[in-house]
Amino acid sequence: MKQIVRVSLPDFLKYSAMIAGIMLVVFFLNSGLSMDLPEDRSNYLIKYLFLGWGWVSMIVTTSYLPIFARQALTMGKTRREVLRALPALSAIAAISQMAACFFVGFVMRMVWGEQFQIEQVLGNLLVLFIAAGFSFALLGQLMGVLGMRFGAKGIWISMGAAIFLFLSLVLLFALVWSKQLLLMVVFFTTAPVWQIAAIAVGAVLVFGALIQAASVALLRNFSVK
Amino acid sequence: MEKVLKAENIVKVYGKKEVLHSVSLEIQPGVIYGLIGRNGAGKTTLLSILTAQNTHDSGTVTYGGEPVWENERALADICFSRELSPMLMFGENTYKVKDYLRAASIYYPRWDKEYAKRLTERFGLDMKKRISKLSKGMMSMVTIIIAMASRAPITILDEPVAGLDVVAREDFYKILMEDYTETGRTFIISTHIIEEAANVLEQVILVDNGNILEVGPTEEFVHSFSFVSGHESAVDALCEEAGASRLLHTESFGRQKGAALRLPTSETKQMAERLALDVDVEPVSLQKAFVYLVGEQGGEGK
Amino acid sequence: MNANFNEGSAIYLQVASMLEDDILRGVLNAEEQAPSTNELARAFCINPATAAKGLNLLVDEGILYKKRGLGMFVAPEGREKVVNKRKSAFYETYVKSLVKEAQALNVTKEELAAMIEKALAK
Repeated sequence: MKQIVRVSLPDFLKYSAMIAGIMLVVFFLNSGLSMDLPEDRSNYLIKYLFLGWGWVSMIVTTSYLPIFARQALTMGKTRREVLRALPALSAIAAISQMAACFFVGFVMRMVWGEQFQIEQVLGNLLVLFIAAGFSFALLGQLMGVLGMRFGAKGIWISMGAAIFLFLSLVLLFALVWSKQLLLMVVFFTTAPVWQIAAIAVGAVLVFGALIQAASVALLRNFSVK
Repeated sequence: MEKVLKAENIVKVYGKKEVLHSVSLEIQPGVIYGLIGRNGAGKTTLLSILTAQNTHDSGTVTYGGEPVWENERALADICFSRELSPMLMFGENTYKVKDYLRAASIYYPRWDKEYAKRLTERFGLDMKKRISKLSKGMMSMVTIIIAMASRAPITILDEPVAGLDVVAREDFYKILMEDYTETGRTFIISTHIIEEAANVLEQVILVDNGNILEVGPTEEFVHSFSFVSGHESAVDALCEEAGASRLLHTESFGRQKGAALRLPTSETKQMAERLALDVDVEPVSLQKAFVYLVGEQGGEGK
Repeated sequence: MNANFNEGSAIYLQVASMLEDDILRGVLNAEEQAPSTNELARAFCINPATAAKGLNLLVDEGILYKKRGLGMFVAPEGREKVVNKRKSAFYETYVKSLVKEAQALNVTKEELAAMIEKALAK
């Protein structure tokens, strides 16, 4: 596992640095390098930060994990070792991606100071964002593994799986709570941060375990093409 | 170092097609094997099963008596340097040569960094080039470098000379001999450029249509064939004496006839002398022997 | 030695005959060390097992001899043995086929002898 992480780490870091760079360039072009940040812009930027946070780590794990896994398998590693490394790689993808976004947020805060209201996403929302970041990376892992197992077909299967997962989550939430309640829970909950964090960690672990179980089932008898 | 890699009754099915039919093979330590077969004969499949990169449907693969499947200790002794692919699942392979070598240096426990560097220089390979921008020959060079520098006791190369020009091919055989005379490790080299490889291969493994036809010393194999030519009647008489089972191939040219026999030249000559037949008896090259043996059966298209 | 192998005969025989050539030409003299298996393998890109077979053939024929731990050396009578071996090979390969060809062309014994005389005179 250590070896696989060692091989892949530079790629993750390179990718995060690249994304951070792109985001900074886009944001600054977008704001016309003006020193005054319109208020609605703040929200807009935070949204984009979240995109970089979640979706990018999903894309990174989807596209990179199969490459690392194949390379490790062709260079004498067992499937067991590769499977052990996969969640670690997903976590690294998520963490490096979040770190990049933190960095971007930090830079923007330096430039715009109080005008960039990053405080909006502190506390409970940040906890949920972090949980979402890991979940997206894990989803990417599943998609990558499906792609690896079924080739080009796997990409369609994985897209279907992603949509299915998304819809079932929405459905689940809709069934369990009313829409208002859901919004309440997410944005206006008064529960202390540690409670939300505990729930989030639990949810990510359960989700991760499911994805890992699916990965093991898919790759246990994998043949390198 | 003295462990035997052994495959017993390997069956592999892809969909409904059985691509390996109960194949058994023993790879002895310290021997250079040539795996020879037509495209689609099952060479790569066999090699990937031997190295536990692919699954199989029945049979066993062991290394020093231990199963190879999911066995870290066994796999650490084996390097199967596969063909690189210019495309990956999500587009071009943008990895650089040095990225591959770095990965190999981490994964192979016996990796020889100096040797890898020397070989890269010897081939004149640009470390910074992306795999997708490499020619077929350059990709072969990368797989050769990985195989050689892995210093694995069992090193397997799949079509190592594909796309290499004559000079680089000769250089490869030279590199191989330099390393082998020094380390004496086991090599399995799959190829369909047969003739050039003939001299370096101690043993040949002949694969055709998912079966291993023969395994044996190259020289003995080659010398179990002969080619007879002469007047039709004389050649026919000789073929009859030799028996239908030994007759592999005939070609006619008016009254002139040629026939390939599975009979050593010396024996064929004696036979011709005994029967007082005026024929020319010639030895056969490895490539020709291979073609006579499998060519008549149709190969891939069958 | 030269490294141009042909398909005609076994590589180990060609290795042996290259070494014989060297002994005949004085490239290798009596009591001098012959190239090792590995040296031959590297020089001609042939499998060491093949090279060893060639060397062992010459040992069996008494042209080379083994010194324990040192390698192969040219026997004192090595050159003489090569000459004798080549002479009998000369009869087997050249003289016999010469006669065979002559018979196929209906060349008489006298004509053949005359031809050889003529060639010798040149």
